[in-house]
Amino acid sequence: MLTIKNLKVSIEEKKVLNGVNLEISQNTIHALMGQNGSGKSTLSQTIMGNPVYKITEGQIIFEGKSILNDKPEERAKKGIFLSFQYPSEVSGVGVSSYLRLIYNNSHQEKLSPVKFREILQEKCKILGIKEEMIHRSLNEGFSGGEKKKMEMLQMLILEPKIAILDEVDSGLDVDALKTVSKAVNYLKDKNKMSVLVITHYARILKYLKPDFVHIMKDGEITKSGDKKLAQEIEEKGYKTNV
Amino acid sequence: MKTILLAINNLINMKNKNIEENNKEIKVIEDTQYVIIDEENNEEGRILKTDFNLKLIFEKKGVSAEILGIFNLEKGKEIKLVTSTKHIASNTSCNTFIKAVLNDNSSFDYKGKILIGKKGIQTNAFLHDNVLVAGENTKRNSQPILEIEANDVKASHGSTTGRIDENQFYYLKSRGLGEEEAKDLIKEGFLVSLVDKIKDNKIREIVLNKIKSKREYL
Amino acid sequence: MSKRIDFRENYKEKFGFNMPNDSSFKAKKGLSEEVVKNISKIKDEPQWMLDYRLNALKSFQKKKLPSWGPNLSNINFDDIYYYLKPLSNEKKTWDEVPESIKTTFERLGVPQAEREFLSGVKAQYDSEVAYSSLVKDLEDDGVIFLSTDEGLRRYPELFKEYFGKLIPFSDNKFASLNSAVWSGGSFVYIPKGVMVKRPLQAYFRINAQRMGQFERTLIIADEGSFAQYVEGCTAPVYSTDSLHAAVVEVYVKKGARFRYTTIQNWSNDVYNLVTKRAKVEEDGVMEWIDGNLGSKITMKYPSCYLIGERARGEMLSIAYASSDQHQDAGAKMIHLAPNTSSRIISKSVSINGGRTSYRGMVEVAPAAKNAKCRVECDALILDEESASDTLPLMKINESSANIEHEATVSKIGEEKLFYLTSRGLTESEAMGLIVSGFIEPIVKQLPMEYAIELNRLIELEMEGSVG
Repeated sequence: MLTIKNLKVSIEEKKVLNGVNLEISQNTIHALMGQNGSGKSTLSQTIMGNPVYKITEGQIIFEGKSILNDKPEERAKKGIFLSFQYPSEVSGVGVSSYLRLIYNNSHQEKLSPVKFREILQEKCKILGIKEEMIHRSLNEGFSGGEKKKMEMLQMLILEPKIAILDEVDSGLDVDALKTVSKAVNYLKDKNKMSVLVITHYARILKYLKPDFVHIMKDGEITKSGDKKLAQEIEEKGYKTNV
Repeated sequence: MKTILLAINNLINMKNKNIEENNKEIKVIEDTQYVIIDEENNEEGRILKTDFNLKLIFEKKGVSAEILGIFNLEKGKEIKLVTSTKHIASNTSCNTFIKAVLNDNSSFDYKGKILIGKKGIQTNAFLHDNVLVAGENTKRNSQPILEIEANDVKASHGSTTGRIDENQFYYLKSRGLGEEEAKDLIKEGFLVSLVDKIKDNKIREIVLNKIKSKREYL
Repeated sequence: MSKRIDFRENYKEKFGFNMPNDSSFKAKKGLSEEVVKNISKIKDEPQWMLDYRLNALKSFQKKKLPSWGPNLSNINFDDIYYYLKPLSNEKKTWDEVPESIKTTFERLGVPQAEREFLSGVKAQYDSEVAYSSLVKDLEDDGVIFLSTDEGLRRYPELFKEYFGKLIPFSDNKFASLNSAVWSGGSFVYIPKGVMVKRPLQAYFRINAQRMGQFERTLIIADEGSFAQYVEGCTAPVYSTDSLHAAVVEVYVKKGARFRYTTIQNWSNDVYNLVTKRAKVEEDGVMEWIDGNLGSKITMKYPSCYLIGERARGEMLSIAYASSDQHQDAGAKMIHLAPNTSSRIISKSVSINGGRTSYRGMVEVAPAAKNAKCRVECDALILDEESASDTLPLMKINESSANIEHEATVSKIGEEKLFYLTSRGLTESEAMGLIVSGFIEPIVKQLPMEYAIELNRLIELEMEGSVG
């Protein structure tokens, strides 16, 4: 479904990705691990089309076609979703009406506020999100955990083909972690959604069981394996494994 | 970052004995910190009115500066201060912090301008103007100005004027300090937060001594 | 904006629209004593009003243009009709109306009859019966809501007591002009203790011939009363007049509360220069809500003179400036009594080379113990061609006052845009959402129809402006 070939990326003249190769097929979970500064976030942002990153070489192919020239909104419409590490706060924009807006944008059949409410409540239930949160401004004054849940809520609304989770586990306690994983697994089971989980720690991989695990260092994927690799990292750290 | 002390009315640290240096226009070419204080007395006695105008021009890319204005206005003192920073090159930054304590019958008139021209892309400019009123019959004018012609910038300003916080006052008195002592401590603390930002040790000492010595005014 | 006036004969008498009955009067350009005398004669005004107008004219001729603010030197005072224009000038067909205006009407959902009126194609428009029921309720409560001309005619003592006392004709050049040639506007009196639930819509008082060019509004909210006044509309209003100089005086008496909301979207060749002032007595509250979307140049600084203890003034303002527009707006809060408080919130957006300027003044006199004031100004500059200024002045002459002011100028962050577009929104949709969110704290204080229209207008503007 998603193929990344020899991807090289720079930001402000500085090289951050040095030839990444990765292939993700439908209905699989890939984990990408590595230390700070290894380029994990850069990869996720580049796949989504953040204009700040310049692709100097390589390809990103989604469902057989190159998406290098696609704007972020076009990539979103094709079914790519990124859960941001640091979601933006947009003041004055109510969560509820915003969610209906992005829902209607990505579905043929547009829903009225009343009909959408039903769907929204259903999704909120899966994530254990309380009513009052949807009456607030998007991400404004939200704690780290609340922001991550809001990312997951948007994912449930958009039902993408592939979800890239950029450190969705940071700042979450065990219960929140389980809830987030529940949402991801729900979509995987329902739609055969693929997942790219980016994380430092193996903890979340207990709940999102990866089919493949990759290690990233200095802008490249240096090692790949199965979930045993994640366990090794957990036990021995990064130094011995790269 | 180098630090330059501008003591109005009586220029300490500089060989020049001219008192009439009330208007300074400086082109900032390296990262610099400008500290402005008011010298209360000179050879001719106590100076009641002080006028000072500082203009910083940022024509060189990437330069950053800081302006620290630290003032304790004694009885009857009037200070008129204008600072302006003009950004006409990219990636420059300037933070202006002005703090003044107003004692009885004093007045503080401050105008702080931030001007960002079309070429001032990626400018970061902030201005904070805070006055603590510690006496009666005080006057204070504040005119923080932003004139911005580039959009890829971050610019903001804030101005506050208010009396000593009752809670703070009560807290100190409950630890055994008398009224005047508590007041002095709060006033000093208010100004010291800026003094701590001074990077040059010698200059910091000079300014700190100026603030602390004022207990003798009673 | 759904209620309209019926122009039938008896209605005219009842609600104060008088058409000139002097057929010898010819409409002509330029200002002179003769023009002023004719205006007063046609309206059949008492001598004192004619004298007032003539003195104001002298003041206008003497005064200079303000030395600060946007450039007004292009106003040609001799090239303006100060009263009645020849009707032939008004003739226009729907085909001649610019496409952009038609599109805006379409998107805002403005009914067809209204479109023709707003764009100058039709001189009058049809009414709905709903209006007369509103008027009945008001009459029962003793509320006076008339055109200013009619107010002078029917309540001369009340009128004379308050007219021109808050804004003397000598206040500034454009107040002088208005005082000399004023016509139209509203006269409102809310009796003691009366609460008027529905907003008084000034839209009722306008017809095409007198499109609010030199409107004069006088409002008296008597003790303990409550009312709201709304004027203007978000739809672009076509006007043949290039100069609008209005004056608004509001008296808020002890314990009364009044809210005055204006949304203006004059076409881009209009100079909109307005003097608005409120005097607030003990325990009174005055709220100005100002939306400046149109005009070539707007200069408007609604002010509150807080003269009684615990009086309160509030100003919420939105300014939107696109190409060739300069919105120079702000507020003045003058604290003249103890325990008074005020708040100013200003949000401005500039795009396509437009410029917004916030010009504010907070003054605290020595008697105003414990005065409190908070000012927040935020400006969004959406592209490289646009600009913004924040020019506040605080004069604090009372030691116990607590005054805070904060201002920020920024653009829409790339991060934010990317975040929203990554959820499937186009760039202009994302910008529209962010701008709407930016002005939301003020928009939510507007009557619902205005709020909806304003958001649609922003969407439309973003589409038009973003590549």
